[in-house]
Amino acid sequence: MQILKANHDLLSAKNRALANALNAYSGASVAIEAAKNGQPTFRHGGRLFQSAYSPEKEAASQTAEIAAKKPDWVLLFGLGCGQLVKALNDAGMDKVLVYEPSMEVLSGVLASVDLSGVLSRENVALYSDLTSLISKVREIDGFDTLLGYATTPYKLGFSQEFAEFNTRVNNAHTTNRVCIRTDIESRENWIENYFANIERLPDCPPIDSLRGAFKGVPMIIAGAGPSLQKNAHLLREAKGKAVIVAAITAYKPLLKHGVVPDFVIASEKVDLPEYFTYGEDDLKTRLILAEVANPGMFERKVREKFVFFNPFITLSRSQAPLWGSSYFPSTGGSVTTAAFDIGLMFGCDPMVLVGQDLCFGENGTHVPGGVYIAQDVKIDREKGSVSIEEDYVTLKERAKSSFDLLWLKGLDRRPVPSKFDWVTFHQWFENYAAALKNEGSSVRLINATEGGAWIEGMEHTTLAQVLERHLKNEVPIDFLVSEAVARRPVADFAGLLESVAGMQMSLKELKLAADAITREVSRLKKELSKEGVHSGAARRIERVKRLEDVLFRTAERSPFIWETLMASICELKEYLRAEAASGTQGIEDDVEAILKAYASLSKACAKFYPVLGRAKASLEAHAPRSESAGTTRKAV
Amino acid sequence: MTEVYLDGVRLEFEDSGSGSTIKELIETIENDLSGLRRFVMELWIDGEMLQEWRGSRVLNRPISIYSDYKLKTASMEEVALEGLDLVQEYMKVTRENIDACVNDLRVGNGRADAVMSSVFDGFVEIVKTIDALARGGERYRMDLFRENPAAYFNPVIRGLEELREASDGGDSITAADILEYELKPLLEEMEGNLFHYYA
Repeated sequence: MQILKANHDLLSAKNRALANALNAYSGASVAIEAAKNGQPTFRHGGRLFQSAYSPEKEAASQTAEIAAKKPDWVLLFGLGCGQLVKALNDAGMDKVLVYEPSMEVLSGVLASVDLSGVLSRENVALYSDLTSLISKVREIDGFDTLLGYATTPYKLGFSQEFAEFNTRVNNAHTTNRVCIRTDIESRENWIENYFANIERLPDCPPIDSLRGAFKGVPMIIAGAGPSLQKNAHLLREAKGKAVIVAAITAYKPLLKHGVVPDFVIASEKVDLPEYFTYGEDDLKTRLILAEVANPGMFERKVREKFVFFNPFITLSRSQAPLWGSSYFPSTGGSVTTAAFDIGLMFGCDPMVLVGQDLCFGENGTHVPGGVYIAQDVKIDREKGSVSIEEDYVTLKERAKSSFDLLWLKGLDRRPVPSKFDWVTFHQWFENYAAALKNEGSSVRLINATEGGAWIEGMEHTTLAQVLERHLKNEVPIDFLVSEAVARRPVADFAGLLESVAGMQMSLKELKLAADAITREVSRLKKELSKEGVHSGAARRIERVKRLEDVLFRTAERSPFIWETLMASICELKEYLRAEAASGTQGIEDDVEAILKAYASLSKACAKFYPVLGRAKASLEAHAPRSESAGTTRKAV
Repeated sequence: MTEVYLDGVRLEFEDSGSGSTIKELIETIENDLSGLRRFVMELWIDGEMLQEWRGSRVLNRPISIYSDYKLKTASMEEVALEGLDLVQEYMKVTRENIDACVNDLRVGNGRADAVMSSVFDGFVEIVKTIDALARGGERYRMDLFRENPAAYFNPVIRGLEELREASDGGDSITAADILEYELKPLLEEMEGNLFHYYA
């Protein structure tokens, strides 16, 4: 009992959900046996899971095998009696996530084997549900290497669970890496877009102006998955009884079915004029745009435009309150995920998804009627790849792309082919549903997508059923929107102006410091090539350090600058990782890496200085004269 | 005209009916040699040395189809020493294969099955060779082993049967345990107890 209590106390602190699940578990538990050396071992399903002689020695072989691959994180499928986790820790591998697929094993082991020492380590965590494990995997740095490991009895005894574990861990880590890549490729555009959008933002109420405006009103979010074809026509009946939000890609297909959505949500960094009709329908709908969406999107003529601010952009987090927004939607990388969180902020219930297939359809990736005229999708299961050829509405030639093939569980529980971005969204939906459940939320989450992936934590049904059960009353949507917008908070233009002016000033200082560092490091490089490492080098390095201190202090006033430099920061990070892995690569390489990093910084400062100048000019038009002239307010 | 040489000396040989087989030739020669405690060790036919010729189908062929036979002999003692060398080599290799197989089983390496087959083959060869040596030693009154090797045969066979059962049932943990904690110690015991000297 003491062992169980020690384990339980620790689990309660580290993973309360698991501790509760164990408390509630009333099924059978494996019997723990003593191996010949006294260590614990057990059988499950008639199979020995660890050595009956020395589980410790067995764990040592497995540890040697794992250590040879030098992973940053080890993801163990199966806890066993904990000897392997301990051996890994003893060998210096202290980042270990353990997923135990069997409550029968877990309850038996935790009742008899004291694992409190092992499990108390900071980076060791135990899970019995895959969703929580995957959630943790999503937090791991995409640069880190992960090694999934299972002993043979676990692979054989829990083959289905092992396959799912592998697929989902692989999906999660792939999306981590892809998200980093997307981030690297997009940050600079996002920041540039935001400053350009400042001119339009005064006319776009923050989306949280509508906070709580639709309490208890159903929201239907339409994605543009192939299955939307099956039930989009039913949305005509939903009009006026639910808030209908379309992902930008689903807008035109919905129009083809006679449905004008109440909102269309978009956040693309590039302009997407082809998604609009430039007719009556556009003027009946409202756009919900990300603050970093392409400025072209803010110029579309629609009934009304709302803006939302992203939580993962420092600049947005600091500026949003000045625009009167205190809401940052949780997003999983797609506008549909953002819309889902926005719906909850509106107070909507139930939240209903349609067209959210998250996988390849039989003939393409999207519902007909949008921007893809024809698609040819080829899935190569053996190579694990998907190639797509498609005629896009604005392109003269066929567009070609290819992706790694990933798999999700389908509505009929059989695997459906998917790709990294859909898998990311899928994980987000499942994590979101799990988080709501943990919070005790009563909001009903319904996936009425009639095809594609199963989303754990949601009720799966047809749209016809949703209409019948949940859409009974007329809702004065236009009135509710107008009323809420009329009460919207006023933007602090003076504060915004001062903030942007402060950032522009610090950009200038940053550039000066970066250029000074570049000059010092260039001189050091020349001296090193002529004289090798010499006594003067230390003095020069000291000067560089002092200049760096100045630079970092200045950069605190413009935190966005680091985000715009994501690509060079990542390059530097990869260089440092490679250096750490292979030992020193020589001072010349270090000097080269530093030069490159500061040259990028200087270039970014030069590029953004006029961009901020234009933003400042836009704000000056709105800011009260008396305040705009001064610079006494504290910069944000 | 067929010619037969024994240790470099040409034999007067007549295959009157032209129907005798190579096997009959060798048996006749070995019968003659038995009083000298010697055996035929190498067989060369038409200038080519035959490997693994004992039990080979070549032996059933008529002598007359080849023209030249060279037979090399060795004393019983030489044969025994070679046999002891061979069995110790088998034991060393099998021990190494056991270690590799145990590791492969524990880390789930796919080549474990192939290495386990080598372990089985190794034990079969060890038992067969020791048995042949023991019989030869008895027949020719040579004290080849420090103790009766037959005492190890049953435990080895029992261990191999258990190993087969575990392997067929996909129980890699038990298979690794049997190899490491039953068969390997047994092999080490045989190595330590059976031989008067080590090759």
